[in-house]
Amino acid sequence: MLNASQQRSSASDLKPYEEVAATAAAGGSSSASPFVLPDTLLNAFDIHCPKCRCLVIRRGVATQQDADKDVEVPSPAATSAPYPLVPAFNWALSNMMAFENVGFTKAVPGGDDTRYLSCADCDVGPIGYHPPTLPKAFLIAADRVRYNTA
Amino acid sequence: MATSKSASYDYLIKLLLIGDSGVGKSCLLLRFSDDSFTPSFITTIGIDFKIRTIELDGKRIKLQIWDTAGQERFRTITTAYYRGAMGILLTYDVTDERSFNNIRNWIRNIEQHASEGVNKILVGNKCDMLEKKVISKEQGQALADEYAIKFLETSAKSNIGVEEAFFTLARDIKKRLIDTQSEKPEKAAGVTLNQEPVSKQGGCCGK
Repeated sequence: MLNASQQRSSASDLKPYEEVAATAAAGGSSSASPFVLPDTLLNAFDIHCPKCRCLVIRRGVATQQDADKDVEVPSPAATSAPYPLVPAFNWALSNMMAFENVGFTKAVPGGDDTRYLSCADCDVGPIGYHPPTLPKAFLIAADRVRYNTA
Repeated sequence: MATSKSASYDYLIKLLLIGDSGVGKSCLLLRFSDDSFTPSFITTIGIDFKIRTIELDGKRIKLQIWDTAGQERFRTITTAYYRGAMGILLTYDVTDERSFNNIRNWIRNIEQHASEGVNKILVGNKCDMLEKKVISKEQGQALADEYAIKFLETSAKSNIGVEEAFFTLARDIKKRLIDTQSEKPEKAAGVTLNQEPVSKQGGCCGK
C-alpha cells in the first residue's frame, strides 16, 4: 500500500546479517566493519524488514551502537527463537521520524514502558525497541533486519 | 553519498484511524493482510502507531498514523488522542450496517474533540465482500456529501483503494497547510522541517 518511497530492488539484494558479516571475514584485508560507511559509524546499507521488502531505515542515517547486554529483545514468535535475545549490536536513531517505515507497539501490560518496534508493512517483530529511560534512543537489532547491498 | 540529510522530510502529518471495532482499521495499515504468517508477539501487544514515509508531488512526507484499536469499544475517544491530529480516516465496514450508522456518532465525537479544520475522509472497507455487502457505494457517497468530505471504498484484503485513501487525505492536508502558511508568514502549527520527535507522552492517550 503506502510504498511510494520504497525501493524496488530484487529480493536477492537483501542480505541477512550473517551474510554481510561473512563478507568481512572473507575479505580479510581490513578489520573495518562491513556494516558502516568508511570512517563513520553510519549504516552503509538501506535496512529492510527481515520478511518483506519494507524499507525501515535509509543508508547513512543510523549509528552503530553496542547492545545493552542486560536487555533481551523477545523473539518474534513465541514458539521459535531464530534470533539471539541480545542483539549483535543495534542501529540507533535519536529521532523516531528518521525511520522510513516502522511500527511502535503499546507498552507491554505489567511491564515497564518499553515500546517494541515492528515492520510497518507486515507487522513482524520485534525488530528493535525504544527503551523507557532513553527518550532519544530508537534501536533496531542489527541481526533482525536485512541489508540492501546492491 | 548518503548523509543524515537523506532522512529529512518536508511535512509531518499525524493521522488517526477511527471507526467501530472490527471494521478493519488495523488491516488498512498492513500491506500483507493474508495469513501467510502470524506475527504473534506484535499482534498480542498491539500497535500504537506507525510511521510511514511517502512521496507526494515531489515532497517527502512522514505520516504518523495512530490506530484507535481497543479504545473504540468505549464509543468515544478522548481529547488527548485527537491532539495534533491533522487528518482522520473515518472507517466503516460495508458488510456491517451498524458500523455505518455509527459514523455519525464518530463525526460528532470528532467535532467535540478534534481541532477545527481537521481533514476527514470516509472509508467503506471490505468492499471485496460483495455477497455480504449491505451498504451500497451510493449510501456511502451520500453520507460523505452530507458532511462535505471525500469518500472511498477500500479493501485492505485485495489492496483496493487503500493507498488512494491515505494519499488523498495527505494531499488535502498538505494543501491546507500550504494555504495556512501563505496566509501567515510564520510556519503553520505542527509543520516544521526536521522537527524534534513527537513526545511519546504528548502523543499518547495518557496511559
